Amino acid sequence: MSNDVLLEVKSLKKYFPVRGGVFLRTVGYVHAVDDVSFYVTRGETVGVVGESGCGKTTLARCILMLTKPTSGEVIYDGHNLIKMSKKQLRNIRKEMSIIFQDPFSSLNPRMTVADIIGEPIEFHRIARGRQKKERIKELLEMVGLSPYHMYRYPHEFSGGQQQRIAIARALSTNPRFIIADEPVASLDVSIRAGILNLLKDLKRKFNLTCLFISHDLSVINYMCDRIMVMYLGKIVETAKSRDLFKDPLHPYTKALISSIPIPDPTVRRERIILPGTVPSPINPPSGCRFHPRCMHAFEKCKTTSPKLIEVKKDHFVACHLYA
Amino acid sequence: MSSSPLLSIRGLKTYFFTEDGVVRAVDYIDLDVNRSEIVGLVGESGCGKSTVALSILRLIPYPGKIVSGEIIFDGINLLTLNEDEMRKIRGGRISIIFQNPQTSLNPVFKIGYQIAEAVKLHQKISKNEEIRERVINILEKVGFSDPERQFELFPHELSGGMQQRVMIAMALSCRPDLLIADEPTTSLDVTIQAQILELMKNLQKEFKSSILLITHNMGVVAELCDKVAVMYAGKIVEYGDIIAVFKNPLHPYTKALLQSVPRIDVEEQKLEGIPGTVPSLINPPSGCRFHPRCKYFMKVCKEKKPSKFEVEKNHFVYCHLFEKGKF
Repeated sequence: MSNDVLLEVKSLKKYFPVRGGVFLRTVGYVHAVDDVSFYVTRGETVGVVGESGCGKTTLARCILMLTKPTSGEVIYDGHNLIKMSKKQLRNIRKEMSIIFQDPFSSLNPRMTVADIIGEPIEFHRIARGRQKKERIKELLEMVGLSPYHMYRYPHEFSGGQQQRIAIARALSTNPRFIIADEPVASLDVSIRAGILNLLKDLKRKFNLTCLFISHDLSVINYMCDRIMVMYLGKIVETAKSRDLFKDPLHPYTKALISSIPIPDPTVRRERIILPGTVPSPINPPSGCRFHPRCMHAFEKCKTTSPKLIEVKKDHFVACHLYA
Repeated sequence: MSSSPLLSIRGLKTYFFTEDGVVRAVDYIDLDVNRSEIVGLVGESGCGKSTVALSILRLIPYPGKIVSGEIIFDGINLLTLNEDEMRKIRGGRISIIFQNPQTSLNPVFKIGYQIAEAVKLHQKISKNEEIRERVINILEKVGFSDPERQFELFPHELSGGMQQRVMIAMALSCRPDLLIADEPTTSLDVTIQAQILELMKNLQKEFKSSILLITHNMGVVAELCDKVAVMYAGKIVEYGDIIAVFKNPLHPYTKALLQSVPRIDVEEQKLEGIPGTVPSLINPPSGCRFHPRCKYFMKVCKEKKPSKFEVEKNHFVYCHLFEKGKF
């Protein structure tokens, strides 16, 4: 199995200091990602789902070393990224790409599309001059735009098209691993499907490995082979997509799935309404972080943090109910 | 229901006269909302959903203007009222919840005070204790556990979900006949969205208000509404009972929209996006506005605006495919 694993994350932690008082001393930490371990095998699409503020994006940024993790290991293809120098990282980043949520703010408004897509090609010395131009054309066609869009600026495109440009940029260095951080959250439904299908096709075509982050379980279900559910900086459940929807184990996953409105008025389901809101990650609840909102909480949940255990094959859950 | 509808919009046109040209945000729409009924208005961003809401309340900002049409609310044409009469209706008989509670609440006043303002203005209650009692009562109804204390909180001390509850409390404080909810759960997380939808459902049963729910989320509509109107590029393209529209969508746009939503209850789903993008409302396509993106495009679609066809009882569609004798 070890040969199949492209990315492995071991007890990754990222705490952001909170400063306060007159001298801006550190008065606490935001536990954005707290002891997260998982792996992604080659060619797999793994989804990360959770509500806002649960640490999804921080996790993505830590994997790419865009923010330095507090502790833990990120092993990509046998290399521990945390121990790498900036120069070494630069080489490896050619293989890892990211697509951000808001295409408009991730594209430089003063650069033409050709410049935007061409920059990584030039930076990583993949092609120059005429070859670079050919490559840009090829990329644009791949994402469903035309080569004559090359010399336009981002604001001349609609949101969906902008996201296509961002995808072309992400693919420009022939990466093997792509992180898509809420790539369709800012798009309209009719456009969303097009982008999701494009990502699916490209993934298949180039045999990409993908970490797909979204708050929307239905999008995750459509895209991913395996799903990780996050709550307040921790993974609470991971399973194959089908297993997770058929047989969710963690009370939070159950509530999350039952909260999603289904576009079918004849389907009436029992709904689990969670009380309260997600607590602050600055002072997360003791023990299991979900216990203040959990209807099955008992004494142990308040004191001990549950470990991720394998309940069924490839189905892990962090909950005392299954210990 | 044989009695006349609570709200009846006829031939409404709301245009924005910008420097770049006339934006036909709402272009001749008809819409009915019956008493104690929840009607959904769905469409993508920029299709004119919110402009419909603002037109009903006559809150269209400059350079927008209601060009023509009628908005009959409980027998009165709102477009003929003067500003004073309109003010009595806004917040009193018709109220609105906006998408983003953070920007709709005033950050420097306590939430209790902000709710009290509406009560004071519309309910003719002057005794402070009585107002306070009313506000605390309504706060409790929208799910505040300790309203006596929470009365004194400022908006920033509340989470997004709680802020939206304050907005709902404010909107319902005068027991309006019609509540317009403009994307009430779009900025919220799913578990919080579930809470708010449940709350709205329960309050609707209790208060018997009619709700016009504006959203782009087909799931939310299916969950909450009795009827639904689908809007595209300033026009309503289909209107009918919720089950009829979802089970037997007629307009190609409605069909495509339903097929482009990923679902969790369907395995191995194949999503179909709609090619192209939403057209500009300054120069909308001729004829049927959906024709450049439509699978079933015919020559007539480009030339003639489709008229309204009642395909089943109370299920209307604006599409040439349903020309008499063809379906």
